Amino acid sequence: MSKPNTLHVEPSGLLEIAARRGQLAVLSALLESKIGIGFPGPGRATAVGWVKPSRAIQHSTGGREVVGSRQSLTQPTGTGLWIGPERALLLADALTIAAVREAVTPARAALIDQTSGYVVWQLAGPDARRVLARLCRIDLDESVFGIAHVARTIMAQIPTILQMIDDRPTFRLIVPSTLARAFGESIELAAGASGIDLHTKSELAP
Amino acid sequence: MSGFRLPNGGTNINRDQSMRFQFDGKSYAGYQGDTLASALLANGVRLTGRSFKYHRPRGIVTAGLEEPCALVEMAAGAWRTPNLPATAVELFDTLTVTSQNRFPSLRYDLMAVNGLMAPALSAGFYYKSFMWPAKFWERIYEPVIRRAAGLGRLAKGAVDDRYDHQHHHCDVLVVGAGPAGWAAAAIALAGGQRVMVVEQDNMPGGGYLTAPAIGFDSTKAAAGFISFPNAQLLTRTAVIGAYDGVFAAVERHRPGLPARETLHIIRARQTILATGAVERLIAFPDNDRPGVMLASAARAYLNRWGVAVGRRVALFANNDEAYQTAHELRAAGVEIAAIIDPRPESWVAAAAIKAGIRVLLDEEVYSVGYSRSRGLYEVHTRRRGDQGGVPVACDTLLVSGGYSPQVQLATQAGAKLAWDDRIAGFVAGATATVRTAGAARGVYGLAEAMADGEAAGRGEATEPVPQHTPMLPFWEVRVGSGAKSFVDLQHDVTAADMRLAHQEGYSHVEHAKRYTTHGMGTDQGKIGGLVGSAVLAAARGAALAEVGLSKPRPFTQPVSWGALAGPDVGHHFKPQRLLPLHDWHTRNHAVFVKIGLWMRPLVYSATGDTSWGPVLAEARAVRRSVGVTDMSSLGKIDVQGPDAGQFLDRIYANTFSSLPVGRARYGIMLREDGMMLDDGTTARLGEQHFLVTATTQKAADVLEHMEWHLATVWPELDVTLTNVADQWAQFAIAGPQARKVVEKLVTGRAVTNEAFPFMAAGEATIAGVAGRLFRISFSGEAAYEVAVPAQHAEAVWVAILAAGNAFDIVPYALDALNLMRIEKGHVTGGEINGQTTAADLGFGKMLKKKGDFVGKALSQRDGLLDPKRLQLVGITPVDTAKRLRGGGHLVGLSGAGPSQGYVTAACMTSEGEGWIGLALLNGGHSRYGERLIAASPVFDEVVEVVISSPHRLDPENARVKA
Repeated sequence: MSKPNTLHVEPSGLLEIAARRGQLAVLSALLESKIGIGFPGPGRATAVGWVKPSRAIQHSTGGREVVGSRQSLTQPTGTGLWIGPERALLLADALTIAAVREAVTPARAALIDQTSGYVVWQLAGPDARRVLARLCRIDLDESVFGIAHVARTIMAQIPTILQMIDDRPTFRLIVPSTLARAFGESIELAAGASGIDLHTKSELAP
Repeated sequence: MSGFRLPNGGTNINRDQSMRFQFDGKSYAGYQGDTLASALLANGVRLTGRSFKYHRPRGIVTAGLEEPCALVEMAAGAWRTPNLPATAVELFDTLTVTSQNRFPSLRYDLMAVNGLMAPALSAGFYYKSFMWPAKFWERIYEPVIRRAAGLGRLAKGAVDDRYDHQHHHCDVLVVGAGPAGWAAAAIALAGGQRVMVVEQDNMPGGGYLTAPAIGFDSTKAAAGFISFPNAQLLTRTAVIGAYDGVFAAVERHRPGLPARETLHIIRARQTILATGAVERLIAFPDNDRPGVMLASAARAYLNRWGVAVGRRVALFANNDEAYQTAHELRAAGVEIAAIIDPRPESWVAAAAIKAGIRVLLDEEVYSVGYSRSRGLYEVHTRRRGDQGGVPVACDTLLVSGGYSPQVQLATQAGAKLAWDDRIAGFVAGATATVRTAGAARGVYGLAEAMADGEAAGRGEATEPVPQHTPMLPFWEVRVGSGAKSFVDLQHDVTAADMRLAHQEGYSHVEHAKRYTTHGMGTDQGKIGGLVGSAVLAAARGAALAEVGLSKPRPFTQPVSWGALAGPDVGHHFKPQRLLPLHDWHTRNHAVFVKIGLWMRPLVYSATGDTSWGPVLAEARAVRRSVGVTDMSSLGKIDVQGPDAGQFLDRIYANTFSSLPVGRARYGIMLREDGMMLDDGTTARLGEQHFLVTATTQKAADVLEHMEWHLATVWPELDVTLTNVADQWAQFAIAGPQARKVVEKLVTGRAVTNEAFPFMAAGEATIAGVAGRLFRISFSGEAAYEVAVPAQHAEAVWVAILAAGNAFDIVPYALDALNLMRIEKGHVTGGEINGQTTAADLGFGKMLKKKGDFVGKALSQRDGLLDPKRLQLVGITPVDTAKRLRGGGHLVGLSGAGPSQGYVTAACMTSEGEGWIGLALLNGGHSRYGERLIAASPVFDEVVEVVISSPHRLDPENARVKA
């Protein structure tokens, strides 16, 4: 019995961070010291590992992801995705986002709540690449698009932020919330066309 | 008839698995592994279709996808696919196909009378005959021509079948799995590269498949290949085009129904085109008769499907390779009537004579004996160029005019063609990423092609080995009579047509192609393309190398629309954008309308009533008391940074840097050319923080306009733009009782007229949710807009309805919103239509005098300042019983004369009786009070109207400020 393929919505707080002119280095250091996630480099994600629930913000360094490594994080509580020049999308719990809001002044970056602006899908399983090959123009071979890689692309005519999370493989697919339902349907159709059984929790979709 | 199945042989077929199929209503037997073509030939069926123009009987000519004649149609229910080469349709039980282009039946075709009218149907006939009178074209000529000329029919109903798209990436793409391609792939694979092989046949092997003695086991080879993790193999997949480094290929799935196809989009770092060579025909009179086929096809049917294409076979060939077919047929027990070779001598001819075969050297076939009852029964040969000759009795004539490398994809990929005397054909050069190998570059012979493929896999090339006796460039057998010698069998183009093209001045190969339609069929004239060029070259007295081939454009094979559309069909044709409240709207009887990607409620009606009744009821409830509407589809752009104010001053035609924090302002944007782009309100949320709204229709354009200017025109400005359209749900609460509703919802701040006046804006807690509150109005009533994160949309909406319950609040939708804005004289996309200026729409005074802004310079062009331009006005019928129509034209009271303008919007009015409208009228701003006729030729209606200001409802804005 092979491992199942799954598709589900990942509930998460989303904060768009746009660095002010010349503030990127300072901002990155600030974020790293406050939440353990530095500003991601182009086409990459940075993530932070396990945070003890009792101490909402922990200065975690041990769990930080090494770009391109095959290791995945067991329970990341925050991920910063590069989504444009000097711009990142932070997926995190409310407390982490509150910590960023407290630490980052408008002089460093514009902080824009996007918790309702995007829906975060996770597609995982041994056939995830086959499903995505029906929708995605990007080369997702692990030699090209590895763990913690991020790309912005179009899938099913919908602008998508794509991240590889782990080598199960699990892909994170972030789409505008008003198009999320159409996107979920397209993923399911693509799986069906490939003869792939996809376990969904689509009731979580908006 | 003539063809039959041999007692043994055939590497493709499984003789233990027989199956039944139907062709034109008649049932036949075949084997698993047969193509429709091989099974028909095995059953002695020769007549498979009627030709395009003359409706001449046609048979199977080739054994591959280059088949020009045997095109059939498969259908099942609503699904229907025409123009399938019988050579590519794989047999399965219950396969049902029909021939094409015959009426009423294949054997007795009424349109064949075209053949008798042949002199009138010469090349360019349609251009010459149907030029005049022009108005006859659409109604008479075109439908008749289409009925006469159509090949195949389209599916008429909707088809649920799903076609798919798939993307691939590889280091090396190898097109064609013959000796060269297979060798190249193996080398690349061994080098650890990601290799993808695409083969149009149903198994790899190419030339190996017609040479069973080699012992190439396709199944084993394929299995071995794909056992490598870095290998991918697509069979039954034809590459249909090269597009800027991307190759598109269509995969025909397993035999059976539904006959789905997948479009593969392949991006490769390097591509090796091992597409082989295709045997070409020779133009001689009646070279299209059923029973005339290519020599290579007969060899393929023999070796791959165990089918002898005839009992007594003649061969007309100008090259050594073709002789192999004769020897193999003879070995299988088929009688070889004669080999006719236009060359005076040949090494292989001598060997054939020695083996006891009759070889007519320095001879040519100049006519074919064919009748409906007997089929092909003899060919007539003569000494080259001589008169008359003797008949050779035979039932089949195999033709080989040499071989043309398949260069279509290489030329599409940008490779240059070069003439190769050795093979009398064009070969393709290489580009930085694309090269050809094997027969595709004129390296013939299995071993030679394999060696060339290996070299290509290593990035090298081999030198072609010379032939024993060179082939003779030989294109046409000319006779004096009017008999037809075809150069394009599918499009019925003859050698005479090519000469006519030259005679009439269409001498360039591309002009001749369009004049004659040579090579424009679904087969792209693969087997006769060069022959047509050769005839043209002879007519021009030019070298064939100089005349060249017409450029083969994509698609190199016919493609079904389904494959191109892929999954983007039905409601996935464009993704649907759903409002955060979509499910609430659905539950509450919204009638939806698709606007752009959005699904928006048009009106709420349990009965689906979209007449004016429910719309007026919604609008009157707002005017009387209070209503709430979902504005969430508005474009919303978050603008932040120290230079945000300055940026907006440049983007907008009016000023925003002076806007106080906590206030909103109506703004207009111009395009660079001075025309109006969009309007909307922009609020200042903080010293360096603005929120721009754009209309639903222009939301994407406005964001792009702003991003483009920020990135390229003013990169020095420190501003960040963020699309927050989906983050915020936004609702307008409008009507005289709006404040009372909002007071019950908002906590933590006063919303009185003094504390929160018209155009105030700021953060607020709405129904317990942190959001934003704006005092803006589109309806013309006192109104508030609330914005909350979209995840809270329904909770807040329900709270608004509950708070408004005491005031009989109603939800209102797009039609009522539009009705109220027409009454108020607000503009939308109907007026900001890309042809109107700010001044035309009454915003001339908003253009700031000091400081530059996008569109300023060109908005002052003379033409845009002309007082006679179309300007926005209101119109009202004099007789309130008369209705107005959007799109109606405004003309003088006589009802005649030129159009002076047109109606952009019309609706019934919620205040008073009858209809009102907005219009764009020449010099309209100075014509208030004038009477005109609004004429709608579409509805055949004329209405006398009086011109007014567009701002009829509350022009002093007392209501919105109350």
